[in-house]
Amino acid sequence: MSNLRLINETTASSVSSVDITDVFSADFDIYKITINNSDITIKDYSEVRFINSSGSVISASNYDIANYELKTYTSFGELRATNQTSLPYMWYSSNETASQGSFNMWVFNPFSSSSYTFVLASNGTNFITGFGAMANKTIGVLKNTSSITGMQFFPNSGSFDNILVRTYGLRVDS
Amino acid sequence: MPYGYLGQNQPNQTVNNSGVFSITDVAELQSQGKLGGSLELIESQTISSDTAQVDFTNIKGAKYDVHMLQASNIKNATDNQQFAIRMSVGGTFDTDNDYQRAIFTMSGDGGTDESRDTNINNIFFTLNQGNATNEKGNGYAYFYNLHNSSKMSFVTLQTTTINVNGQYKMNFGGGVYDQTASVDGIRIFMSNGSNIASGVFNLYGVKQ
Amino acid sequence: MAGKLIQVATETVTSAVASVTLTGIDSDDVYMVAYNNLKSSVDGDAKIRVTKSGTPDTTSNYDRANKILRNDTTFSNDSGTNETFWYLEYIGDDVSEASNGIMYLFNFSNASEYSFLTMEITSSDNVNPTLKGRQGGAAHTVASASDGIQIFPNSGNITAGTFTLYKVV
Repeated sequence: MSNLRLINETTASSVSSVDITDVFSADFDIYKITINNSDITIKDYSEVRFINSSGSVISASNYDIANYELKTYTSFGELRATNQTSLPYMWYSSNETASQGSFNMWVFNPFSSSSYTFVLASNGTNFITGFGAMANKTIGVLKNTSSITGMQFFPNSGSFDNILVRTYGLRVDS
Repeated sequence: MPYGYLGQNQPNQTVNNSGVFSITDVAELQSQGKLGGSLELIESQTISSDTAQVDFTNIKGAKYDVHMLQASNIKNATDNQQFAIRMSVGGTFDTDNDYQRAIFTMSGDGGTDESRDTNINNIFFTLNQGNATNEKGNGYAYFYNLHNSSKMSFVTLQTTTINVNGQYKMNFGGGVYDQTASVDGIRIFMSNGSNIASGVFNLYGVKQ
Repeated sequence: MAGKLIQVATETVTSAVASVTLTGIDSDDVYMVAYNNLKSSVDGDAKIRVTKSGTPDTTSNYDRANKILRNDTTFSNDSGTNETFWYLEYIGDDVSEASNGIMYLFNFSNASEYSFLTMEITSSDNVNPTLKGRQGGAAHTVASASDGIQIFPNSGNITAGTFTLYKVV
Protein backbone atom coordinates (compact mmCIF):
# COMPACT_ATOMS: atom_id res chain seq x y z
CA MET A 1 0.00 0.00 0.00
CA SER A 2 1.29 3.44 -0.86
CA ASN A 3 2.52 5.77 1.80
CA LEU A 4 0.47 8.63 0.28
CA ARG A 5 -3.07 7.99 1.49
CA LEU A 6 -6.27 9.81 0.63
CA ILE A 7 -7.88 10.86 3.89
CA ASN A 8 -10.69 13.16 2.93
CA GLU A 9 -12.47 14.64 -0.06
CA THR A 10 -14.75 17.63 0.51
CA THR A 11 -16.94 19.28 -2.07
CA ALA A 12 -18.84 22.49 -1.47
CA SER A 13 -20.98 24.85 -3.52
CA SER A 14 -22.07 28.46 -3.06
CA VAL A 15 -20.12 28.97 0.16
CA SER A 16 -18.22 31.91 1.59
CA SER A 17 -15.77 29.48 3.17
CA VAL A 18 -15.21 25.77 3.44
CA ASP A 19 -13.97 24.05 6.56
CA ILE A 20 -12.07 20.80 6.29
CA THR A 21 -12.24 19.42 9.81
CA ASP A 22 -10.66 16.50 11.62
CA VAL A 23 -8.22 15.62 8.89
CA PHE A 24 -4.95 16.20 10.74
CA SER A 25 -4.02 13.71 13.45
CA ALA A 26 -1.14 11.91 15.08
CA ASP A 27 -1.19 9.44 12.20
CA PHE A 28 0.78 11.78 9.92
CA ASP A 29 3.25 14.65 10.19
CA ILE A 30 3.05 15.69 6.54
CA TYR A 31 -0.06 16.16 4.42
CA LYS A 32 -0.73 16.98 0.83
CA ILE A 33 -3.73 19.10 -0.12
CA THR A 34 -5.04 19.51 -3.65
CA ILE A 35 -7.79 21.87 -4.69
CA ASN A 36 -9.38 21.45 -8.06
CA ASN A 37 -12.52 22.66 -9.72
CA SER A 38 -12.64 25.79 -7.63
CA ASP A 39 -14.85 28.49 -9.11
CA ILE A 40 -15.08 31.87 -7.44
CA THR A 41 -17.62 34.70 -7.73
CA ILE A 42 -15.23 37.67 -7.57
CA LYS A 43 -11.76 37.91 -9.04
CA ASP A 44 -9.48 37.82 -6.00
CA TYR A 45 -7.05 35.84 -3.89
CA SER A 46 -8.11 32.91 -1.77
CA GLU A 47 -6.76 32.38 1.72
CA VAL A 48 -6.21 29.70 4.34
CA ARG A 49 -6.68 29.54 8.09
CA PHE A 50 -6.12 26.57 10.34
CA ILE A 51 -8.56 25.00 12.78
CA ASN A 52 -7.33 23.92 16.19
CA SER A 53 -8.21 20.76 18.08
CA SER A 54 -11.03 22.62 19.85
CA GLY A 55 -12.64 23.26 16.51
CA SER A 56 -11.88 26.97 16.48
CA VAL A 57 -10.63 28.73 13.40
CA ILE A 58 -7.34 30.45 14.24
CA SER A 59 -7.57 34.09 13.19
CA ALA A 60 -4.91 35.57 15.47
CA SER A 61 -2.18 37.62 13.79
CA ASN A 62 0.32 34.79 13.63
CA TYR A 63 0.51 33.92 9.95
CA ASP A 64 3.48 34.79 7.71
CA ILE A 65 3.72 34.23 3.97
CA ALA A 66 6.08 34.67 1.02
CA ASN A 67 4.71 34.20 -2.48
CA TYR A 68 6.60 34.30 -5.77
CA GLU A 69 4.28 35.21 -8.62
CA LEU A 70 5.37 33.95 -12.02
CA LYS A 71 3.35 35.83 -14.61
CA THR A 72 3.26 35.10 -18.30
CA TYR A 73 2.50 38.75 -19.17
CA THR A 74 4.88 40.82 -17.07
CA SER A 75 7.84 40.71 -14.68
CA PHE A 76 7.62 38.17 -11.91
CA GLY A 77 6.57 39.57 -8.55
CA GLU A 78 7.00 39.02 -4.85
CA LEU A 79 4.35 39.14 -2.16
CA ARG A 80 5.32 39.11 1.50
CA ALA A 81 3.28 39.49 4.64
CA THR A 82 3.96 39.12 8.35
CA ASN A 83 1.64 38.67 11.33
CA GLN A 84 -1.49 38.26 9.28
CA THR A 85 -4.81 36.84 10.45
CA SER A 86 -4.67 34.23 7.71
CA LEU A 87 -2.36 32.98 4.98
CA PRO A 88 -3.29 35.41 2.22
CA TYR A 89 -2.41 35.20 -1.48
CA MET A 90 -2.54 31.40 -1.59
CA TRP A 91 -4.01 31.44 -5.07
CA TYR A 92 -5.57 34.00 -7.36
CA SER A 93 -8.64 33.33 -9.46
CA SER A 94 -10.66 35.10 -12.06
CA ASN A 95 -14.39 34.70 -11.71
CA GLU A 96 -14.72 32.87 -14.99
CA THR A 97 -15.13 29.15 -14.82
CA ALA A 98 -12.83 28.49 -17.73
CA SER A 99 -9.84 30.28 -16.28
CA GLN A 100 -9.66 29.00 -12.75
CA GLY A 101 -6.85 26.61 -12.11
CA SER A 102 -5.80 24.57 -9.18
CA PHE A 103 -3.78 24.51 -5.99
CA ASN A 104 -1.36 22.06 -4.43
CA MET A 105 -0.03 22.42 -0.89
CA TRP A 106 2.08 20.43 1.57
CA VAL A 107 1.33 20.98 5.27
CA PHE A 108 3.96 20.10 7.87
CA ASN A 109 3.55 19.39 11.60
CA PRO A 110 -0.08 20.51 11.95
CA PHE A 111 -1.09 18.17 14.75
CA SER A 112 2.05 18.75 16.83
CA SER A 113 1.54 20.89 19.92
CA SER A 114 5.24 21.75 20.09
CA SER A 115 5.88 22.88 16.52
CA TYR A 116 4.74 25.61 14.22
CA THR A 117 2.65 24.55 11.23
CA PHE A 118 4.35 25.19 7.89
CA VAL A 119 3.04 25.15 4.32
CA LEU A 120 4.65 24.80 0.93
CA ALA A 121 2.42 25.50 -2.04
CA SER A 122 2.42 25.52 -5.79
CA ASN A 123 -0.48 27.22 -7.40
CA GLY A 124 -1.55 25.28 -10.43
CA THR A 125 -1.62 28.49 -12.38
CA ASN A 126 -4.64 30.67 -12.93
CA PHE A 127 -5.64 32.80 -15.85
CA ILE A 128 -6.54 36.44 -15.49
CA THR A 129 -8.65 37.62 -18.40
CA GLY A 130 -7.10 40.55 -20.19
CA PHE A 131 -3.67 39.76 -18.85
CA GLY A 132 -2.51 36.16 -18.93
CA ALA A 133 -1.66 33.32 -16.61
CA MET A 134 0.13 33.24 -13.29
CA ALA A 135 1.84 30.43 -11.40
CA ASN A 136 2.95 30.75 -7.79
CA LYS A 137 5.48 29.30 -5.40
CA THR A 138 4.43 30.00 -1.83
CA ILE A 139 5.69 29.27 1.65
CA GLY A 140 3.90 30.06 4.86
CA VAL A 141 3.82 29.46 8.58
CA LEU A 142 1.42 29.68 11.52
CA LYS A 143 3.61 30.89 14.38
CA ASN A 144 1.64 29.07 16.99
CA THR A 145 2.17 25.67 18.54
CA SER A 146 -1.52 24.84 18.77
CA SER A 147 -2.48 21.36 17.70
CA ILE A 148 -4.15 21.81 14.33
CA THR A 149 -6.77 19.35 13.13
CA GLY A 150 -8.23 21.10 10.09
CA MET A 151 -8.19 24.06 7.77
CA GLN A 152 -10.48 26.69 6.31
CA PHE A 153 -10.36 28.04 2.79
CA PHE A 154 -12.08 31.29 1.87
CA PRO A 155 -11.85 33.93 -0.84
CA ASN A 156 -10.75 37.41 0.16
CA SER A 157 -14.00 38.63 -1.37
CA GLY A 158 -17.03 36.92 -2.81
CA SER A 159 -17.58 33.21 -2.40
CA PHE A 160 -16.81 29.85 -3.95
CA ASP A 161 -19.28 28.69 -6.56
CA ASN A 162 -17.64 25.29 -6.30
CA ILE A 163 -14.63 23.87 -4.58
CA LEU A 164 -13.17 20.37 -4.28
CA VAL A 165 -10.52 19.74 -1.63
CA ARG A 166 -8.62 16.49 -1.23
CA THR A 167 -6.39 15.74 1.76
CA TYR A 168 -3.72 13.05 1.66
CA GLY A 169 -1.49 11.87 4.50
CA LEU A 170 2.15 10.93 3.92
CA ARG A 171 2.68 7.86 6.02
CA VAL A 172 5.93 7.09 7.84
CA ASP A 173 6.23 3.51 9.05
CA SER A 174 8.61 3.18 11.95
CA MET B 1 2.53 -1.55 8.13
CA PRO B 2 -1.06 -1.39 9.36
CA TYR B 3 -3.57 -3.39 7.35
CA GLY B 4 -7.32 -2.94 7.28
CA TYR B 5 -9.06 -2.20 10.52
CA LEU B 6 -9.88 -3.87 13.77
CA GLY B 7 -13.33 -5.28 13.51
CA GLN B 8 -13.79 -6.77 16.91
CA ASN B 9 -16.46 -5.63 19.28
CA GLN B 10 -17.93 -3.02 16.98
CA PRO B 11 -21.66 -2.40 17.67
CA ASN B 12 -22.74 -2.93 14.09
CA GLN B 13 -20.29 -5.68 13.29
CA THR B 14 -22.18 -8.55 11.75
CA VAL B 15 -19.24 -10.53 10.45
CA ASN B 16 -16.24 -11.57 12.47
CA ASN B 17 -13.19 -9.83 11.24
CA SER B 18 -9.68 -10.08 12.57
CA GLY B 19 -8.68 -6.85 10.87
CA VAL B 20 -6.42 -8.53 8.34
CA PHE B 21 -7.05 -8.60 4.62
CA SER B 22 -7.16 -12.04 3.06
CA ILE B 23 -5.65 -12.64 -0.35
CA THR B 24 -9.16 -12.56 -1.75
CA ASP B 25 -9.87 -9.24 0.01
CA VAL B 26 -6.73 -7.72 -1.50
CA ALA B 27 -7.56 -8.94 -5.00
CA GLU B 28 -11.11 -7.64 -4.78
CA LEU B 29 -10.09 -4.24 -3.44
CA GLN B 30 -7.37 -3.92 -6.05
CA SER B 31 -9.83 -4.71 -8.82
CA GLN B 32 -12.04 -1.91 -7.51
CA GLY B 33 -9.08 0.44 -7.36
CA LYS B 34 -9.52 0.84 -3.63
CA LEU B 35 -6.25 -0.67 -2.56
CA GLY B 36 -2.88 0.63 -3.52
CA GLY B 37 -1.36 3.95 -4.21
CA SER B 38 -2.73 7.44 -4.36
CA LEU B 39 -0.63 7.63 -7.50
CA GLU B 40 -1.59 5.38 -10.39
CA LEU B 41 1.07 4.78 -12.99
CA ILE B 42 -0.86 5.22 -16.22
CA GLU B 43 2.00 4.64 -18.65
CA SER B 44 5.77 4.55 -18.78
CA GLN B 45 7.81 5.22 -21.91
CA THR B 46 11.55 4.66 -22.27
CA ILE B 47 13.35 6.26 -25.17
CA SER B 48 16.70 4.83 -26.23
CA SER B 49 17.11 6.16 -29.77
CA ASP B 50 16.25 9.41 -31.52
CA THR B 51 12.55 10.08 -31.62
CA ALA B 52 10.54 13.16 -32.50
CA GLN B 53 8.15 13.04 -29.55
CA VAL B 54 6.79 11.07 -26.63
CA ASP B 55 3.01 10.93 -26.70
CA PHE B 56 0.67 9.87 -23.94
CA THR B 57 -2.68 9.34 -25.63
CA ASN B 58 -4.56 7.26 -23.12
CA ILE B 59 -4.38 9.56 -20.13
CA LYS B 60 -7.56 8.38 -18.37
CA GLY B 61 -8.81 11.92 -18.16
CA ALA B 62 -12.28 10.87 -17.09
CA LYS B 63 -10.77 9.17 -14.06
CA TYR B 64 -8.23 11.79 -12.97
CA ASP B 65 -8.44 15.53 -12.76
CA VAL B 66 -4.81 15.79 -11.65
CA HIS B 67 -1.95 14.12 -13.55
CA MET B 68 1.76 14.02 -12.84
CA LEU B 69 4.53 13.52 -15.37
CA GLN B 70 7.98 12.45 -14.15
CA ALA B 71 10.95 12.59 -16.49
CA SER B 72 14.32 11.05 -15.68
CA ASN B 73 17.65 11.18 -17.44
CA ILE B 74 16.23 12.88 -20.52
CA LYS B 75 18.60 13.88 -23.29
CA ASN B 76 18.15 16.02 -26.38
CA ALA B 77 19.76 14.95 -29.63
CA THR B 78 20.73 18.54 -30.50
CA ASP B 79 22.59 20.84 -28.13
CA ASN B 80 21.04 23.85 -26.39
CA GLN B 81 17.39 22.95 -26.76
CA GLN B 82 14.16 22.98 -24.81
CA PHE B 83 12.06 19.97 -23.90
CA ALA B 84 8.49 21.17 -24.30
CA ILE B 85 4.89 20.13 -23.73
CA ARG B 86 1.83 20.20 -25.95
CA MET B 87 -1.71 18.90 -25.52
CA SER B 88 -4.17 17.19 -27.79
CA VAL B 89 -7.87 17.66 -28.26
CA GLY B 90 -9.87 15.07 -30.15
CA GLY B 91 -6.66 13.16 -30.76
CA THR B 92 -4.93 16.06 -32.52
CA PHE B 93 -2.05 17.84 -30.86
CA ASP B 94 -2.54 21.59 -30.85
CA THR B 95 0.38 23.32 -32.56
CA ASP B 96 -1.20 26.78 -32.54
CA ASN B 97 -0.18 29.64 -30.23
CA ASP B 98 -2.65 28.50 -27.60
CA TYR B 99 -0.19 28.20 -24.73
CA GLN B 100 1.36 30.52 -22.15
CA ARG B 101 4.29 30.00 -19.81
CA ALA B 102 6.06 31.65 -16.86
CA ILE B 103 9.25 29.90 -15.78
CA PHE B 104 12.04 31.09 -13.51
CA THR B 105 15.44 29.69 -14.48
CA MET B 106 18.71 29.86 -12.62
CA SER B 107 22.15 28.40 -13.19
CA GLY B 108 24.88 27.37 -10.82
CA ASP B 109 26.96 30.33 -11.96
CA GLY B 110 24.20 32.67 -10.80
CA GLY B 111 22.61 33.49 -14.12
CA THR B 112 18.84 33.93 -13.95
CA ASP B 113 16.03 34.48 -16.40
CA GLU B 114 12.30 34.96 -16.37
CA SER B 115 11.10 32.95 -19.34
CA ARG B 116 7.56 34.01 -20.18
CA ASP B 117 5.24 34.22 -23.12
CA THR B 118 1.52 34.80 -23.55
CA ASN B 119 1.16 33.51 -27.08
CA ILE B 120 3.25 30.49 -27.94
CA ASN B 121 2.80 26.97 -29.31
CA ASN B 122 4.18 24.98 -26.36
CA ILE B 123 5.15 25.10 -22.68
CA PHE B 124 8.86 24.67 -21.95
CA PHE B 125 9.79 21.84 -19.58
CA THR B 126 13.56 22.38 -19.61
CA LEU B 127 15.53 25.26 -21.07
CA ASN B 128 18.88 25.46 -22.86
CA GLN B 129 19.65 21.87 -22.05
CA GLY B 130 23.02 20.57 -23.18
CA ASN B 131 23.54 17.22 -24.87
CA ALA B 132 27.12 16.35 -24.03
CA THR B 133 27.88 13.35 -21.86
CA ASN B 134 26.08 13.72 -18.50
CA GLU B 135 24.18 16.80 -19.66
CA LYS B 136 20.76 15.46 -18.80
CA GLY B 137 17.41 16.70 -17.55
CA ASN B 138 15.02 15.50 -14.85
CA GLY B 139 11.87 16.77 -13.25
CA TYR B 140 8.15 16.70 -12.93
CA ALA B 141 5.02 18.48 -14.06
CA TYR B 142 1.52 18.49 -12.63
CA PHE B 143 -1.42 18.87 -14.97
CA TYR B 144 -4.85 20.08 -13.84
CA ASN B 145 -8.29 19.97 -15.42
CA LEU B 146 -7.19 18.19 -18.59
CA HIS B 147 -10.46 16.40 -19.18
CA ASN B 148 -12.72 19.30 -18.22
CA SER B 149 -14.06 20.91 -21.40
CA SER B 150 -15.27 23.96 -19.43
CA LYS B 151 -11.82 24.86 -18.17
CA MET B 152 -8.39 25.65 -19.46
CA SER B 153 -5.67 23.12 -18.67
CA PHE B 154 -2.95 24.21 -16.25
CA VAL B 155 0.58 23.00 -15.61
CA THR B 156 3.13 23.50 -12.85
CA LEU B 157 6.64 22.18 -13.28
CA GLN B 158 10.08 21.94 -11.72
CA THR B 159 13.17 20.58 -13.45
CA THR B 160 16.84 20.05 -12.67
CA THR B 161 19.32 19.91 -15.55
CA ILE B 162 22.76 20.60 -16.99
CA ASN B 163 22.73 23.37 -19.57
CA VAL B 164 24.55 23.95 -22.85
CA ASN B 165 27.52 25.46 -20.99
CA GLY B 166 27.89 22.45 -18.73
CA GLN B 167 26.44 24.47 -15.85
CA TYR B 168 23.84 23.22 -13.42
CA LYS B 169 20.45 24.79 -14.20
CA MET B 170 17.09 24.57 -12.49
CA ASN B 171 13.69 25.71 -13.73
CA PHE B 172 10.33 26.10 -12.01
CA GLY B 173 7.03 27.69 -12.90
CA GLY B 174 3.95 26.94 -14.85
CA GLY B 175 1.90 27.33 -17.93
CA VAL B 176 -1.56 27.09 -19.38
CA TYR B 177 -3.22 25.68 -22.46
CA ASP B 178 -5.65 28.55 -22.79
CA GLN B 179 -8.38 26.70 -24.66
CA THR B 180 -11.54 25.48 -22.97
CA ALA B 181 -11.42 21.97 -24.29
CA SER B 182 -11.17 18.40 -23.12
CA VAL B 183 -7.52 17.45 -23.42
CA ASP B 184 -6.94 13.79 -24.23
CA GLY B 185 -3.18 13.64 -24.74
CA ILE B 186 0.16 15.00 -23.60
CA ARG B 187 3.17 15.32 -25.88
CA ILE B 188 6.78 15.86 -24.85
CA PHE B 189 9.02 17.02 -27.69
CA MET B 190 11.89 19.34 -28.52
CA SER B 191 10.57 22.83 -29.16
CA ASN B 192 12.70 23.38 -32.25
CA GLY B 193 11.62 20.12 -33.83
CA SER B 194 14.85 18.21 -33.23
CA ASN B 195 14.83 14.78 -31.62
CA ILE B 196 14.67 13.38 -28.14
CA ALA B 197 17.67 11.07 -27.78
CA SER B 198 16.81 9.17 -24.62
CA GLY B 199 15.00 9.22 -21.30
CA VAL B 200 12.26 7.75 -19.17
CA PHE B 201 8.84 9.38 -18.99
CA ASN B 202 6.20 8.22 -16.50
CA LEU B 203 2.65 9.53 -16.43
CA TYR B 204 0.65 9.13 -13.21
CA GLY B 205 -2.91 9.88 -12.23
CA VAL B 206 -3.38 11.34 -8.75
CA LYS B 207 -6.05 9.23 -7.16
CA GLN B 208 -9.49 10.62 -6.50
CA MET C 1 -1.35 -0.45 -12.65
CA ALA C 2 -0.84 0.98 -9.16
CA GLY C 3 1.72 3.67 -8.49
CA LYS C 4 3.00 4.15 -5.01
CA LEU C 5 5.31 5.89 -2.68
CA ILE C 6 7.19 3.04 -1.04
CA GLN C 7 9.12 3.81 2.12
CA VAL C 8 12.79 2.89 1.82
CA ALA C 9 14.31 4.40 4.97
CA THR C 10 13.32 6.62 7.84
CA GLU C 11 14.86 8.19 10.91
CA THR C 12 13.23 10.17 13.68
CA VAL C 13 15.63 12.10 15.88
CA THR C 14 14.70 12.06 19.55
CA SER C 15 18.13 12.81 21.01
CA ALA C 16 21.03 14.76 19.54
CA VAL C 17 22.85 13.19 16.62
CA ALA C 18 25.68 14.48 14.47
CA SER C 19 23.85 13.72 11.24
CA VAL C 20 21.02 11.80 9.62
CA THR C 21 21.72 9.41 6.76
CA LEU C 22 19.08 7.85 4.54
CA THR C 23 20.29 5.14 2.19
CA GLY C 24 18.75 2.37 0.13
CA ILE C 25 18.58 3.90 -3.35
CA ASP C 26 19.24 0.96 -5.61
CA SER C 27 17.13 1.43 -8.74
CA ASP C 28 16.55 3.90 -11.55
CA ASP C 29 13.24 4.97 -10.06
CA VAL C 30 12.65 8.50 -8.89
CA TYR C 31 12.94 8.86 -5.12
CA MET C 32 11.43 11.39 -2.76
CA VAL C 33 12.70 12.70 0.56
CA ALA C 34 10.22 14.27 2.94
CA TYR C 35 11.37 15.77 6.21
CA ASN C 36 9.80 17.87 8.93
CA ASN C 37 10.72 19.71 12.11
CA LEU C 38 14.48 19.67 11.53
CA LYS C 39 16.23 21.45 14.40
CA SER C 40 19.82 21.80 15.55
CA SER C 41 21.61 22.55 18.82
CA VAL C 42 23.53 25.47 17.32
CA ASP C 43 22.12 28.12 15.01
CA GLY C 44 23.47 27.64 11.54
CA ASP C 45 22.95 26.14 8.10
CA ALA C 46 21.81 22.58 7.62
CA LYS C 47 23.58 20.93 4.72
CA ILE C 48 23.25 17.87 2.49
CA ARG C 49 25.64 15.48 0.86
CA VAL C 50 25.12 12.41 -1.29
CA THR C 51 26.32 9.08 -0.03
CA LYS C 52 28.34 6.56 -2.00
CA SER C 53 28.00 3.07 -0.53
CA GLY C 54 26.68 4.68 2.61
CA THR C 55 29.56 7.13 3.03
CA PRO C 56 29.05 10.88 2.53
CA ASP C 57 30.93 12.21 -0.47
CA THR C 58 32.96 15.24 0.62
CA THR C 59 34.54 16.09 -2.73
CA SER C 60 34.07 19.49 -4.40
CA ASN C 61 31.39 18.50 -6.88
CA TYR C 62 28.19 20.01 -5.56
CA ASP C 63 26.40 22.58 -7.72
CA ARG C 64 23.15 24.34 -6.80
CA ALA C 65 20.71 27.06 -7.88
CA ASN C 66 17.86 28.24 -5.67
CA LYS C 67 15.39 31.07 -5.30
CA ILE C 68 15.04 31.89 -1.62
CA LEU C 69 11.58 33.11 -0.66
CA ARG C 70 11.32 35.06 2.58
CA ASN C 71 8.77 37.20 4.36
CA ASP C 72 11.06 39.98 5.60
CA THR C 73 12.76 41.33 2.51
CA THR C 74 13.35 40.90 -1.20
CA PHE C 75 13.74 37.32 -2.32
CA SER C 76 17.28 36.30 -3.08
CA ASN C 77 19.04 33.99 -5.49
CA ASP C 78 21.58 31.50 -4.23
CA SER C 79 23.91 29.49 -6.41
CA GLY C 80 27.21 27.71 -6.26
CA THR C 81 29.47 25.34 -8.15
CA ASN C 82 32.10 22.82 -7.13
CA GLU C 83 31.37 23.04 -3.43
CA THR C 84 31.56 20.27 -0.85
CA PHE C 85 27.86 20.22 0.08
CA TRP C 86 24.45 21.67 -0.77
CA TYR C 87 22.65 24.06 1.56
CA LEU C 88 19.33 23.02 3.07
CA GLU C 89 18.26 25.88 5.35
CA TYR C 90 19.25 27.92 8.42
CA ILE C 91 18.06 26.19 11.60
CA GLY C 92 18.38 26.24 15.40
CA ASP C 93 16.56 24.82 18.40
CA ASP C 94 14.19 27.62 19.32
CA VAL C 95 10.50 26.81 19.02
CA SER C 96 10.39 29.21 16.08
CA GLU C 97 13.25 27.48 14.30
CA ALA C 98 12.48 24.48 12.16
CA SER C 99 12.87 23.32 8.59
CA ASN C 100 10.59 21.16 6.47
CA GLY C 101 10.73 20.11 2.87
CA ILE C 102 10.26 17.85 -0.09
CA MET C 103 13.06 16.77 -2.42
CA TYR C 104 12.93 14.54 -5.47
CA LEU C 105 16.04 12.57 -6.37
CA PHE C 106 16.88 11.56 -9.94
CA ASN C 107 19.51 9.25 -11.43
CA PHE C 108 21.09 8.56 -8.04
CA SER C 109 21.69 4.87 -8.68
CA ASN C 110 23.00 5.38 -12.22
CA ALA C 111 26.76 4.87 -12.17
CA SER C 112 27.12 6.67 -15.51
CA GLU C 113 25.21 9.83 -14.63
CA TYR C 114 25.24 12.77 -12.24
CA SER C 115 22.88 12.71 -9.25
CA PHE C 116 20.20 15.41 -9.45
CA LEU C 117 17.59 16.72 -7.07
CA THR C 118 14.78 19.26 -6.86
CA MET C 119 14.23 21.06 -3.61
CA GLU C 120 11.21 22.80 -2.04
CA ILE C 121 11.77 24.01 1.51
CA THR C 122 9.72 25.95 4.08
CA SER C 123 11.51 27.01 7.26
CA SER C 124 11.78 29.68 9.87
CA ASP C 125 14.59 30.98 12.02
CA ASN C 126 14.48 33.03 15.20
CA VAL C 127 15.46 36.33 13.62
CA ASN C 128 12.09 38.07 14.14
CA PRO C 129 11.40 35.13 13.33
CA THR C 130 11.85 34.96 9.60
CA LEU C 131 10.04 32.65 7.25
CA LYS C 132 12.39 31.38 4.55
CA GLY C 133 12.51 28.62 1.98
CA ARG C 134 14.68 27.76 -0.97
CA GLN C 135 13.09 26.53 -4.17
CA GLY C 136 15.21 25.04 -6.87
CA GLY C 137 17.62 22.19 -7.24
CA ALA C 138 21.09 20.81 -7.33
CA ALA C 139 23.41 18.29 -8.90
CA HIS C 140 26.38 16.24 -7.77
CA THR C 141 28.51 16.46 -10.89
CA VAL C 142 30.24 13.11 -10.69
CA ALA C 143 29.16 10.23 -12.88
CA SER C 144 28.85 7.61 -10.19
CA ALA C 145 26.10 5.90 -8.25
CA SER C 146 24.77 7.51 -5.10
CA ASP C 147 22.76 5.42 -2.66
CA GLY C 148 21.37 8.10 -0.38
CA ILE C 149 21.79 11.45 1.32
CA GLN C 150 23.24 12.75 4.56
CA ILE C 151 21.82 15.80 6.34
CA PHE C 152 24.08 17.50 8.85
CA PRO C 153 24.34 20.84 10.65
CA ASN C 154 27.12 23.36 10.14
CA SER C 155 28.01 22.86 13.80
CA GLY C 156 26.52 21.15 16.80
CA ASN C 157 23.98 18.36 16.41
CA ILE C 158 20.60 17.68 14.91
CA THR C 159 18.17 17.67 17.84
CA ALA C 160 14.84 16.89 16.17
CA GLY C 161 13.19 15.90 12.94
CA THR C 162 11.73 13.04 10.98
CA PHE C 163 13.34 12.16 7.69
CA THR C 164 11.96 9.63 5.22
CA LEU C 165 13.11 8.32 1.86
CA TYR C 166 10.48 6.95 -0.52
CA LYS C 167 10.70 5.28 -3.90
CA VAL C 168 8.17 6.39 -6.52
CA VAL C 169 7.06 3.39 -8.55
